[in-house]
Order: sequence, then structure tokens, then C-alpha cells
Amino acid sequence: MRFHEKILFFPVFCQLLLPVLDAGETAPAVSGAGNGNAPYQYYIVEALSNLKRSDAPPPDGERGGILRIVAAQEEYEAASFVLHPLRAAADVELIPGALNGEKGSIPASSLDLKIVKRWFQTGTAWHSYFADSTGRQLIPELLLNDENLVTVDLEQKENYLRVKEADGRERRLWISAPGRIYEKLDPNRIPVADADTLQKFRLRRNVCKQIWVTFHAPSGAEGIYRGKIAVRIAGRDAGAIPVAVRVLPFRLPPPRTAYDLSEPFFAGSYNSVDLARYVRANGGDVPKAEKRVRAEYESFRRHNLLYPLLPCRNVYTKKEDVPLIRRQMELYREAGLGTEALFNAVSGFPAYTDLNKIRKLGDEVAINEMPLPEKWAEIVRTESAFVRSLFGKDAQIYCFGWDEPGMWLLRAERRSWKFLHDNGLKVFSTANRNHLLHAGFNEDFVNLGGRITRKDTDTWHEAGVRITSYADPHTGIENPDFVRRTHGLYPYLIHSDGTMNYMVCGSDWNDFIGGAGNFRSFNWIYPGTFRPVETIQYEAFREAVDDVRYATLLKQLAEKALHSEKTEHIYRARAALLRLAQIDPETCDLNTVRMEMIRHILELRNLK
Amino acid sequence: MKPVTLLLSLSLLFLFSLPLHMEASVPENPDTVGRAALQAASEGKWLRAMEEASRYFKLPEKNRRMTVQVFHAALRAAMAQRAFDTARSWATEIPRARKLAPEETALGALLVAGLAGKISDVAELEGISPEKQETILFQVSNLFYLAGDYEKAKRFVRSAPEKTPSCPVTIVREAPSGIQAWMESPLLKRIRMADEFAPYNRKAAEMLILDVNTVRGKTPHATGTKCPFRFCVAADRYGLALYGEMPEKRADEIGAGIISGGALEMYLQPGEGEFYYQWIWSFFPEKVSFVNWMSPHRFYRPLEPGFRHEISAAGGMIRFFMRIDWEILYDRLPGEETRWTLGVIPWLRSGGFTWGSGGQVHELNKFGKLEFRGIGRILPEIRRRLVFSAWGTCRRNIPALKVFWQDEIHGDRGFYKKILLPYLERLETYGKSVSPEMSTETADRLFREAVPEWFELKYRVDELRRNALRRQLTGENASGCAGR
Repeated sequence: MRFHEKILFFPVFCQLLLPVLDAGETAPAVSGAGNGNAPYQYYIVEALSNLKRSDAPPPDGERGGILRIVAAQEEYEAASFVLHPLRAAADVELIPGALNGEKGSIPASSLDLKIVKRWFQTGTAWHSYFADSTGRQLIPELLLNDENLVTVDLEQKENYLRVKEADGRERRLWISAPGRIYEKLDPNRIPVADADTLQKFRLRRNVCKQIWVTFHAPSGAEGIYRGKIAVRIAGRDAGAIPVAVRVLPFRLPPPRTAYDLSEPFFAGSYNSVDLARYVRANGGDVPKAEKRVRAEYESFRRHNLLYPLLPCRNVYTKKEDVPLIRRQMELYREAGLGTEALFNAVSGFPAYTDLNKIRKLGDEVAINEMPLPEKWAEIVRTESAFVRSLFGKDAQIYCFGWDEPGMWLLRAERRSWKFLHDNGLKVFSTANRNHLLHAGFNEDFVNLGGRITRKDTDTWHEAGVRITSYADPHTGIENPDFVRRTHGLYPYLIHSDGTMNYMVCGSDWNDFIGGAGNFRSFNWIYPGTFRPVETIQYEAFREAVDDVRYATLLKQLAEKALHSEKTEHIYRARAALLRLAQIDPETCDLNTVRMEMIRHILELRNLK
Repeated sequence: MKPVTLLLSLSLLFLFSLPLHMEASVPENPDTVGRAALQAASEGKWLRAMEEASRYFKLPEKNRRMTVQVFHAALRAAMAQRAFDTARSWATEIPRARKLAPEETALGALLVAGLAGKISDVAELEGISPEKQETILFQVSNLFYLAGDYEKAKRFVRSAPEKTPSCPVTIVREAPSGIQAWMESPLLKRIRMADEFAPYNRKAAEMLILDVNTVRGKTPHATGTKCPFRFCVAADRYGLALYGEMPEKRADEIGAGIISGGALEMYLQPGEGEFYYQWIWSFFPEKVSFVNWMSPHRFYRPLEPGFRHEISAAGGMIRFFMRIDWEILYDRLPGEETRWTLGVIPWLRSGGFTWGSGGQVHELNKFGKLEFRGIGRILPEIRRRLVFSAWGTCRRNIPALKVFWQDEIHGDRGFYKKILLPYLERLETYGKSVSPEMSTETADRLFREAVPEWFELKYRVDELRRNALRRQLTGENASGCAGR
């Protein structure tokens, strides 16, 4: 080849060489199965699965399938896929597109994508809320826009959280340190924040990454819509995940109990959302604290957690906190949370010293011989008046008694509880079966610790007392199927009045602290300065309540059809109700049950 | 100047100068300053804490306890602010100036050594009790944690991994199947009994009252005696068998239920990171309570259906027998190198104990391990037996499925014909190979391919149904499935 020919040939040679050069770490290619040059494969998986996903390809995954989502109007529904990188890649983006159907389009913003972050938790993680602090397991849990919010050192088995210093610099806080050397993190003082939108992320060869998708069905949509989630690597198209969505032609009703369709199924939780505490901790910045409270309440609403406990004024409350407690109630109302019943909005017990004085009067003292602690009674009068002015005079206010009371204390509360009842208020108490001996007649709502059965619910219902349970199990467990089951169909089918577990938030980021009872962190959401970081088990809680809402709708339609004059309608209704009644909440496949309920609902709706 | 005016002027002059006199003459209260330092430190207001501590150290001491607390708070504040010179200065001077106890002197010295990079220099701890040494090391580690120097923080608390006992599982074709059989078996004479129990942590035992999920009764404290319970484990083609015994003078009364004997709280984890079973075996009256930490699914079966137990209490001895069927763990059969975690926490009249390195309830990492060397000899028989068991289970369940899904009202004939029936027929085809004469190769092939389907028939059918409905609802033609 002559020199000038070489000069001319060289650019052509480079063009030919480029694809070879690019077939390294970031070569774009179409996705999925069947393409030998693809940088990744993907698998559609059940989002709410018992399987603790690792970095290996999922054993239950459908390779190269379609991400299928079925949701009612306005419902939030979870879905998931796993990326299996065949090559390493930096700057990976996932970009959902609009979903198109015969009846129009659903905007891309209806699909919220998060990375499922695996991090180290104690040895019993996934299964238990007890801490095996010297054991370390990699557990999928956090739903992040920015996977770098938490860094995981695989070799040392440690977690680090990105925080901001006072001077604005970022640093990594060691959040898996042993409890005896760890300093609890207060995000009111030290900024912790995930990104607002899904960021680019990395893929390592053969290290699978799970992506969580939450679809929010618009209220006006109906029918089948299709679209895709585009994958881009280093700015280049790298295939897509096809999406098919069915928006059902109905909205879900509020959840109701299985034993009476007019009775609410209360989805609530203990929590640590506390405006006054945030203000104290952040140095007095009320707007900043309010922003955090608003975000937490908005998160609760999106997750069907409509009856979180409120902080209330009691005999120990500092005077300067009272306006903030009341302000928090205003924020609660603004957030669209449940207002026909309020939990812990007014104090249900006086000072410990007052109760002890009653104890000293002996076991035989009658209720009307017990002294009424006036200071506490005045607080109740004042605060209940405020609560009623805010939420209406008909709001049922459940005043919480002393938590997990010993029996002497439970008996000592009799006078104060009578006062509550005389003033149109209600009593809520954590309880066990001994309450049937020492109380019961003066409790309106009991929350039993541990597993309850149909026998328990039937017993309390005989007296018109509502019953739920907590610690069956406590929060902390990441297994979304287990969380969904124990907060949804199990309590529903045993005729519980809801779910009121301890607790949605309030623990630290560090799972290895242990604490008095050797517990892990009790968190469904992790504290952020302005917005919480959510988890897969929190999504499961939402689905648990949605299961109850679907069951409620099925029963409503079936009850109506039972009164039809047409035999076929009655048959269909009974078949649906029998199917529901025979579900074993311990062993059923919840995803299948959901699909079957939808099938029956559509059949019942379409009866002519 | 009139006298009144003069008097007024002098008064005003005196009044204006009064604050200066007062400031100069009224001393600061060390307790007030100390409390301010502690309060600031507890709120993470480190600069303020340092300022108050600095003021405190200039004041005469009134309260030794306060001084020690402020000393600790001051070091924490200085390290959190990375004011290392100040931290070094306080760490050295305050214990000397205030003649603090050896613990504070050691803490200060270790901090200074650590700041100089001398982590291994712990000579300062000599003469201090082991419990206090541990506390001091954690305190120093905490100081470096506050400073963000995690490497040093880790090095001060690095400890050797705790040794946990192991129990070699005796492999036999057929283990004794009850207490009497064990007592008469020559196996008991040669098998090694595990007895490496440590006393249960007393403080932790008191906290067990917080566990509302598990009813243990009163948890006794170890009284310094050795745990009387010992046990051995065997594996055969049916399952895992445990035999245990303990001498007990009041066995007859316990057996009659006159007094409680206690309970064995037990855990089994079939591999690291796996799920685990927990059960509490009380006696007498005998009762086994299972705590389920997962709901059943394709890859997990609860323990209760495959658990058998027997206790006898008489003649000065309490004896235990339990068996876990392999059906429960057929997909996790152990191999030659397998180690399973076994937790045994006897709550006895003589106290609470843990088989392991003193772990608490649920501390799987501290429990002992079962080892299965030699299991390879009987694995083919185990698999063969499971093939029969699985096929039997499946055969019993198939008819009801066919009746249900073929039903016009309850079922879905389209789903049945197109999806379910072909699947069931495939399972039945596998079943035709099951016979007492089947070869080991056939048994192993069926174990791999068919047993998971047979045992998990219910879940597999649920999966098929769920996928079919979801496809149909999202527009894929599922050939005749009901619904819209």
C-alpha cells in the first residue's frame, strides 16, 4: 500500500475498528435474551417474594419477559425485575416511557423506579427482628434513587451512609459499628438525603441488581397500556424492558373487616414522627421540621398507613412542645390521613406517681373511691377540645393507656379511664389475655402482643371491643411476603380490626446496636432529613392493606349479588365468597390470591 | 451642687458600677457549668460542650462524679470536633491535675497513644480488671469513632472470633426411634455427647420479658453450676435424631407435673444465611411451641409437621428424644462439608445455659455447629425414600385439583385444559418410574427433576394460575381462561 493510500485508508480502518474497541465495558447492544452481544440479561421477578435475592440470577425469574402490572385506579402497585450484567457498565440509566393504550396514555411519571440496595444486617436478618449482632448477612432492603447513599464494603462487611457535614462536605458515616462505640445518628442535625430522582448506577459483571417499580394508576385510566423502560449505558441505547399494565375499571374501597363490611380495618402503626422533637434537635427550625413531618405523612398515605399514632400532650410534656403537638395534628389532617378515628391524640394515663398512689389503696378499692388526678384530667379536657375543634365532634379519639401495663397498673387506670369514657373519649390499650381478668370492660380497643386467633377476636367482639395485634412479628423483618401476610390477609381472615404494629420508624440506621431486648432496628422507613428512605417491606405493608381492600370489594359485590333474583348471580357470589373463606392465610400464595380476587371481582361486576 | 443632686449622682455612679463588682465577686457554680457541658454533649453541640468543659476545668472541684463525667464529655466533644490538640491536652492533664482514678488515666493515655498511632500500646491497662479494661477500650474506640477515624476505632475493639463447639452427627442407616430404643442401643455407648454449655447472660435473661412473641415462663439465672444436660445427634435415612439426658433428683415430681422441669429452647439453621427454626420444648406438662419466622412457600416448610418428640422423667433422669424428618429439608440435604447451626438453650431449675460461646437467644453466630461427615454413605437412601414420599404426597393431592379446576363454577376449564392438565400429566409420567425396583440413577434423576414438583405441587399450581391470570389481564391470549 502506498503512503497516500494508507492516509486515506486509516480513517476507514478506524471506523471498522471502533465496534471492536467499543465491545469492552460500555458497548451498547440490544437487551435481553437472544442477543449474543447484549451487555445484560434481565429477569422479571415477583416483587413481594419470600426469596432473599442475592447477586446471582434469580431462580424464580422469567428471563426476557414482560413486566406485567395489574392495578385498580389510583392504586400503587409494586413490580420488579433483575438485571444480570454480562459485562461491567458505568452510567447505566433506566428511563420509563409513557404507557399507551386504546383509551389514551399514562404518563411516564406513573412509573417510579428505585434500586433495591443490599446492605449488611445482623445474622438473623430477613427472618427475625432479633439481633444476631456478631453475624452479618447481605440483605436486599432499601429503595434508593442513588445507590451511593449507602456504600457497602463487601470485604469488611460494613455499611457507610453518606451524610453532610456542617460545612457542606460529604462524608461516609460508619453505620454498622458495634453498639458500644456507635453514636446514634440524628438526621435533624446531620443531613441525610437520597436523591430526588433515579440516578445513574453501575453494573458489575455477573453481579445482579434488582430494580423496584411502583406503578401509580391514574384515576381516569382503564384498560391495557403498553410501554417500556429504556436502558441506556454511557448515553447509548441498550435495549428496553417491555411493560404491560392493566388498569382495572374500579377504585378500591377503604379496607373493611371480614366480619362486618361497615366496620373499618384500621391500618396504623406506632411511629416516631414528632414535630416537637425534630424542632428541638434541629436547633429550632420549625419549617425544616414541618417539611420532614409532611414528607413522612405523605409517605404513610401512599402506603395505606392511614392511622399512625399521634404524639399527644401528657403530664410530662414540656410547655413549649404543646403548640408543636397541635401543629402536628394540623399537618396530619392536611396530609389526608384518617380522621374519623384518631389514635393517641389525647393522653390516656396520668402520672406514674398518681397511679402508684392508687395502687397503695389496695386491690379492693372501688373505681369511684380512686382519686382522679386533676392535672391530667385538665390536660384531657383541654386537648380533647382542641382535637375536636380540628377533626370534628364526631371523631373517635382513642386515648392510649400505659404501654404493656402490669396488672396492678392496669387496675389503677380504672378511674382515669372512667373519666375518659364519661367525657366521650375511648380507651386503647396494649394487652394480653390477662386483661380479660383485670380489665376488658373498660377497654374499647385492645392491641394484643404476639399471635392472636379467631378465638381472641370473637371473644373481644362479643363485648363490642375492637382488637388488633402487634409483634406478630415486630417490624425489622425484611421478607416482604411475610410482612404482607402478617399485616394483611392473616389479621383480616381471623376477623381482626386492623393492624397496629410496632413500629414503622423510630430506630437508627444501624442494625447492630442491639439494645435492651437485643432487637434489630424496627424500621420500615429510615430517617432522612427531609424525606424518609423507604424499603421493600414497607411496600409489602401497602400491598397487605390493598389485599384487604380487594377482599372488601369482592365481599361488597358478592353481598349485592346474593340478593339478586338470578340464580347464576347467586352462584357466582357464593363461589367467590367460598373461595375467600377457604384461603389459608398462612400458606396461600398471596400473589395468586390477588389475581383470583380480581378475577372474581370482574366476574361479579360483569354480571347482567 | 445641691446635696440632693450630689447624693443622686453618687447613687447613680454606684449603681452603674455595681454589675462590675458583682461580676468580679460572684464565682461560677461548677455544678451548673458541668451540667451545661454534659447537656451540650448529649445534644451533640460539641463546640458548646468544649467551651463549658473548658470553663469547668478552671473551677475548683466540688463533685468528683461530675468531674469524671465532664472529663468524658470533654474528650468526646474534642474528638467530635477533631480538636486533637485539645483532646490530647485534656487527656493528659485532667487525670493528673484532678487525680482521677486509674480508669480515666488509662483512657487518657490510650487516647494519646492512639492519636500518635500506637494502637498496640495498651500497657496503661495493667492493673485494671478485665471488665473495666473492656469498657475503656470501647470508650477509646468510641472517641475515634466520633472523630471519624474508623480504622483506629476498629482496631481498639478488634477481638478474636469466638470459638463455638461442634457436634459431629453420627451417621447410621437407622437410628433408634425413641427413648427406650436409645437407652438399649449400643450406639449410646459409643456416641460422643455434647456438653459444652456456658451460663446464659444474666442481664440478657432479665430482658427476655420484652419478647412478647415467645412464652418462656420465668427464665432462671445460672447459679454457677455446670449444665447437667448433654445430648447427641444422629442422622439416618428418615431424618435427624437428637437424644438428650440430664440427671435430676426430682425427676419423678417433674414427670408428675408437681414441679416444672424447665424447657429446652432450640434453634436449627440449615446453613449460614438460611432461615432458621425456633422451638421451645417445655416439660412438664410436655409442650412444644414453634415460633415461625417465615410463612411456608416453595423453598421453606415449617418444622411442626415433621417433628416428633418424646420425654421421660423418672428414676433420677430426664431423657429427651426428637426427630426432624428429611421431608422438611429435602432441598437442603447436608453434604460432607455441611455445617448447620444448632442452638440449645436449656432453661433448667439449676439455671439457664447456652450450647455455644455464651450466646443469647437468636444469636445464631454464637451457637454450636452440627457436622455431617460420612453422610454421603446414606444420601442415596435418603433420596430414594424421599422420592417415594414426594410421589405419595403428590398422588394424594392431584385428584382434588382436577375436580376443582374442571368445575364450571369454581374452576376455570380453559386454564385446566391448556395449562394445568398438561402439567399434571407430566408429573404423573414421572410417577410411573417410581417403584421399589428403580435403580439409584432413576431415583437420583427423579429426586432432581420430580421431587421438587411433587412436594411443592400446591405452590407450583398457584404459580401457573397467577401467571396465566396476569397474562390474560394484561392482554396476552391465554386460550380460554375465564375472566375479562
